[in-house]
Amino acid sequence: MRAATRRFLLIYLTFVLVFLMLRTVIVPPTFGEFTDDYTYRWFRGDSVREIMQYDMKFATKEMCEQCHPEKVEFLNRGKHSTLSCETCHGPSMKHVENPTTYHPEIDTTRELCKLCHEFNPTRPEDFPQKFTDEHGYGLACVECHNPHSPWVFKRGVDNGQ
Amino acid sequence: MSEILWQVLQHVQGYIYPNEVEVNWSVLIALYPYITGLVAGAFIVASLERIFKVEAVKPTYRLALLTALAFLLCAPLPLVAHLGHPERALEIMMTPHLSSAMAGFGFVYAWYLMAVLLIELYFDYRKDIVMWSQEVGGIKGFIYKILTLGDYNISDEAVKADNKIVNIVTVIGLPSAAFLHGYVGFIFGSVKANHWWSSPLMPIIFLFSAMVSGIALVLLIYIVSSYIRGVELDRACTDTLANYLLYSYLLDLSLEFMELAHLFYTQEEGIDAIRVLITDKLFWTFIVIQVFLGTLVPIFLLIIARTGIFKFNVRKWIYIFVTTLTLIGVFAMRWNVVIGGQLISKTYLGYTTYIMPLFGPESLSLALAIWILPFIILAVLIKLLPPWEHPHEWEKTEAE
Repeated sequence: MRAATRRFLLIYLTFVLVFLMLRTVIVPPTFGEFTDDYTYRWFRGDSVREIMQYDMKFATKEMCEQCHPEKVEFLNRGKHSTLSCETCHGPSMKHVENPTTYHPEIDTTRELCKLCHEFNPTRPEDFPQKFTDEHGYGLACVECHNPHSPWVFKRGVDNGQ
Repeated sequence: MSEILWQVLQHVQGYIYPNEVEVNWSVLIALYPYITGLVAGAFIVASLERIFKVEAVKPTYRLALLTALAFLLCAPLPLVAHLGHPERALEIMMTPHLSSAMAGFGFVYAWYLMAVLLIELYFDYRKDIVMWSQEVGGIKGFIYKILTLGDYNISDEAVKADNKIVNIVTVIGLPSAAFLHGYVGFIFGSVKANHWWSSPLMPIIFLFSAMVSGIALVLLIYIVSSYIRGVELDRACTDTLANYLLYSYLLDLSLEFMELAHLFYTQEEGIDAIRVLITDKLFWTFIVIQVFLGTLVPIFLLIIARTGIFKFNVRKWIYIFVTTLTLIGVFAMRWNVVIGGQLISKTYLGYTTYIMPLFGPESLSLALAIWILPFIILAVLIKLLPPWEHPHEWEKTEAE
């Protein structure tokens, strides 16, 4: 073989070898460890163990129900039945661990309700999208609506007013 | 909510899913198949001379190879800029995955760059590199000396052996170029949920439009570079390239027509939405720019030029006009595929709008910068490895 061809091949071979060496250093050892074909497991195996060490933040609706069954039952009968308690009350695991000392904070301004009920043309037309200037201007939503069941009203307001 | 997203929301029509409001694959992703197509097309021009022995296009052989290399070096840039994490770019190479067509790109790209273009360029230029290394001093000479790899043998047998390698690599390179670009079409064609994309014809259509754009680019660069160098154009070469442009245009047109005909004939779900997409949302970029200005007008002009009723001086200007229209038209085709496919909702009941920012990530200015970069690289490559005939000192004096 001629010198040029031989040296050209040598450069390529070196390149491939350097790539393979780099690969052994860069790819984490536990990458794709949970299965043989890697399908849906395309991640570092250790990341699962690391995530398992994190403190839990959310308690789930079932946990809330153990102490507040009447609230959950009321919620389940209204339009907000599909929501989890923590959707509005925020992550509550700390409250479960220390029920007397820690209470989840809740945002009672219009901003929280806007997350779902601000007008947005991509939402279905029959979905309540009430953030026009006319509806309840200057008031917090919870001043009239009971957030656990929004069609139950406070302050003597009737449906439709 | 970002300013742009809010603006887009004002233009949403009908009913669409919330995740369809934002067009995630922006102008950069339209630029990516465009640049890749130019690479494949330019390589096919080069192979015309090597494999198909079209001697007339010899003056553009090396120019086409250098063009392919300059554009190939920039091909991944739109993707890297779009993803926004350049430090992760190599991860698809480190952890390859056969179930993802996207992850295949790294290997298709590496194969094409390392195993095809660089080898072909090197062994084609080797004789000249050895000669230049002895003629030229300074930094340039030093680069040539490194490039010789210490082998200064340019005897007839050595050059013959080089040529043999180039021929073999070109034969491997042609299907590789087809694969490189067919693969880009494959990514879109295999999105089953999107009727504007989902079609087994997509890779072939991409390939033929790549040939169209690549031939046009090489022809335009050839004409402009000859003007800059103050050299007469090789008439046979220019006309032959224009003829090949016409042939590939005709194939491209019939393929695109077949795809549309298939769409309308089968009347699959969502055809009404596609009809509105073509006639309303994409009217300017599809009907006007891609089909009329980018396909029908160039074909008409090329046929006129072929009849020979105009002198070469006029034909030259027709070619400049046609190739410019072609480059715009093929970009419009990429735009219509990439952006068009995202404007239509999976509900088939609504449309979103794409607003292209002028500055910032995923903007027009960034796309323009990436588009200009290959030309700068090409200028440097041409300076280093002149693709013209008779580039040697002693040959110049002999010619004079």
